[in-house]
Amino acid sequence: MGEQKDVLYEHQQEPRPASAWVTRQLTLAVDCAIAGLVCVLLFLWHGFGAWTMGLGTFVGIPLLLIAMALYISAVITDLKTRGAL
Amino acid sequence: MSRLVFILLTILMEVGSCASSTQAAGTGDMVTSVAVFRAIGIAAALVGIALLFLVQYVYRSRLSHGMYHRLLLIGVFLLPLATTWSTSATVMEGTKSVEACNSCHVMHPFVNDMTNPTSPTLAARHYRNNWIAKDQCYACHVTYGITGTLEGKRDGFRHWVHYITNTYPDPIRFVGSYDNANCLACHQQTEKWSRVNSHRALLGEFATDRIACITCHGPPHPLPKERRAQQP
Repeated sequence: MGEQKDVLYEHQQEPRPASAWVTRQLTLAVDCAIAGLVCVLLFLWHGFGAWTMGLGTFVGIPLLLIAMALYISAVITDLKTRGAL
Repeated sequence: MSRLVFILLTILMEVGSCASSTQAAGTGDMVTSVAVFRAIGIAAALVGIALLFLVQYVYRSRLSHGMYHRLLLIGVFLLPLATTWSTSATVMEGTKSVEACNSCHVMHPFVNDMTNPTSPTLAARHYRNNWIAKDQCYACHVTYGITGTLEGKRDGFRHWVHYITNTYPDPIRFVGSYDNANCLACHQQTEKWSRVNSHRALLGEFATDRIACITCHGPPHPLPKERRAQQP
């Protein structure tokens, strides 16, 4: 009975904080995503122009893809650390 | 948390109304697919920037672990995915327009000539008579066939690199050969084209590009000398 209570208590706990590596990856992903979204926004708002299109397409989108990859990597690392994967 | 949702919803509503009014004003109330993709991209990018900034730098300490990760899923994954999709669609569709070609100054003499109602060039005659309803540059300069679009985008990228690195001759010159298939894709099906004896006699030569259509029907655009004369 006492063991069951302990198990229940453990499940109700706030999840353990993520490791420093995961936190760093997530912070980097957020910064990349903000920078990428700003570049893409400049292009979409301004319209077709040599520099804005280059900035949006060849800088903004790669930054967004890096952000998404970092996010996925951070989630997988976090889940592995917690033994869920 | 409710304040965060309220801020984001307000941004989304403002952007939606602003984008739709801008598009309607710009295209005479005709909403094109490019305008829709662009509006979606602008809305997703603005909401994404605001969400990530607020979550990461303003409310992070006040958010629970679960809520922080759920908001990051939206801000770092779903909204960038939507923005990437809408931007790619805007670029793929938008670069077909005459306005997109005309956004580089080297193209101004070509577009000015094409839209000139008295110009005798092939491009101007096609434009004036509405033989190609829209995206006139793209219709003639992208090879018909399965790889045509890819080749068009590759060439567009090459032109863009030359433009921003300032490594192009001015006035520009067409390098390579023009594929007759681009003309024949429309003209070969018409009775008017088939009635011309020389067309029927030279069909094999046209198919292999040994004789170009513009040998008899050119010039398609003003010559470099004429374009140089037009420049201020």
